[in-house]
Amino acid sequence: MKKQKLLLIGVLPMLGFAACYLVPLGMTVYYALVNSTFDSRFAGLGNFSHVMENRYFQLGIQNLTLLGGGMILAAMLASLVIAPLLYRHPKLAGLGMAVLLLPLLIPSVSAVSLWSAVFDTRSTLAAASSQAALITLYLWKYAGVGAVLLYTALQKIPQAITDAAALDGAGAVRTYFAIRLPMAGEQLAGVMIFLTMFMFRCYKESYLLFGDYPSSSVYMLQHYMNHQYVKMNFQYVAACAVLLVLFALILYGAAFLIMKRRRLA
Amino acid sequence: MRKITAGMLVVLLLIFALPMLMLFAASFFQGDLIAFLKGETDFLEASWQRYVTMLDNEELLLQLWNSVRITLSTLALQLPLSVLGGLFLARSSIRGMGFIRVLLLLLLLLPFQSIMVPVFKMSRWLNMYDTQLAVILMQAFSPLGPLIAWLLIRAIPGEHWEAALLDCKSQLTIFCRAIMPQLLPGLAVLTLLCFAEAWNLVELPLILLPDTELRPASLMLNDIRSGSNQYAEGVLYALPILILYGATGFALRKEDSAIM
Repeated sequence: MKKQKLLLIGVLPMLGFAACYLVPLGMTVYYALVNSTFDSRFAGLGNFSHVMENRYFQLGIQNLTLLGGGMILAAMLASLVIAPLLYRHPKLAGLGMAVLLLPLLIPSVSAVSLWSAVFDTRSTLAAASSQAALITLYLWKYAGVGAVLLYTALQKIPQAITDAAALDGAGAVRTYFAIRLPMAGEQLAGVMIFLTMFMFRCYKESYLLFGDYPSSSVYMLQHYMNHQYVKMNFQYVAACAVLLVLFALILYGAAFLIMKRRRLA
Repeated sequence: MRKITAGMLVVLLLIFALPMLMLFAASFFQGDLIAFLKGETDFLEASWQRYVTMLDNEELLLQLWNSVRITLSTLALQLPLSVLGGLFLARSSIRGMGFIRVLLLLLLLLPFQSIMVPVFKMSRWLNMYDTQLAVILMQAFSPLGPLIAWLLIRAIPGEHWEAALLDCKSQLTIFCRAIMPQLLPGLAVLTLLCFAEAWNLVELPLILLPDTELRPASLMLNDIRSGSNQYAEGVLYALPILILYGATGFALRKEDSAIM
């Protein structure tokens, strides 16, 4: 297609994307560096030091790291267990994928109607119970998709390689850990990126389960940001957002680096 | 060994299916099935009553209507925009295309909170605060659509474009007649994903729609649900997704068998 025509085709979606997502991201950085959104005097790193000294911010980032890390790890382990089982039983794989992918699409509010009854999230909760509610909901919604992604990666590995390993006496488990998983390293990093993305988005589930004020064991950075937003401390929300973006970029950067190295290997 | 692993897989799949099965089952009982299973109550009686009383709840019907309106309007905008965006990303050879794709991916991966304040501010400047249009536009321009459409169009071999060029000079006709039919299965999946995203909105309406009468049920169902009907309401809200999921799966299987 001619260059000009293609540019015309791309103008509307790309301008809309820039206006709705890219410009706001730039504005977030700007707001994080000024006194307030109503007083645009340069504040340097004042907003950052203010939020970093706040104990709720510290609690939020601690939970985001530990609880979020735990959720990703648990989902990754579940994917690592389910994917080879799907691979080993191709007759069950079609049905299996349908069952595993469905939770991703089910509206969180529908799932929460069950979870809130099972874990009794409306009453004052014990810390472990809140965490269990959030972790199991995250696992149910996203671990299955991780497993399906990993399963499709395993399918692409040439059968000849694993057959050769079997001839050399390697069992199924050894072949999986020593050959299949290293060969699917790039896709494994992709699954990690996918799970990390949904870990950041699971504020949605947390909000629906516990409302605005959850117990301290599941209080995440996004709760702190929402509270500052309600108080109209937009400069603090923006400072938190910049820190959140940096945190996300470090995680994604590491995963992309692994992907790139695996691709080169 | 094979039987053991098959058994393990079946058990794991049952665990994944269990919450939806429980939700369905609980919606057909008077009394709380979960509380009954936990030993907190003795009363349990099979009944359709929950579905009947649920539909008398006017507030629920209003929020459902909001969800339908937001989701369908979003889809009407998002699908054509996604195809156009995907076509641009896949076929344009302008400089910096790789950078644009990385930006799209990055903004898809970042949490909504990273742009929350500017989105609120901009909606005020544009007089769109507290209107469903703001939510619809934000969702319609989401980077998810163009990225998936790009992956779909990229997967079509270049020879197909070149072969079609021999028969027809109009690029638009080629795209509509020769390329689109090949994209249809992928577009069905894209429709399903976009529908699920828009049907499941929580954070955007929370920030952009302070008026609770304008909010979709995906956000409000928790607040308006009338205790005993929570399971039936949960099932009702999941139903459109389940139907679309089943229909997409059926269509894709039919397409596969037609090819074979």
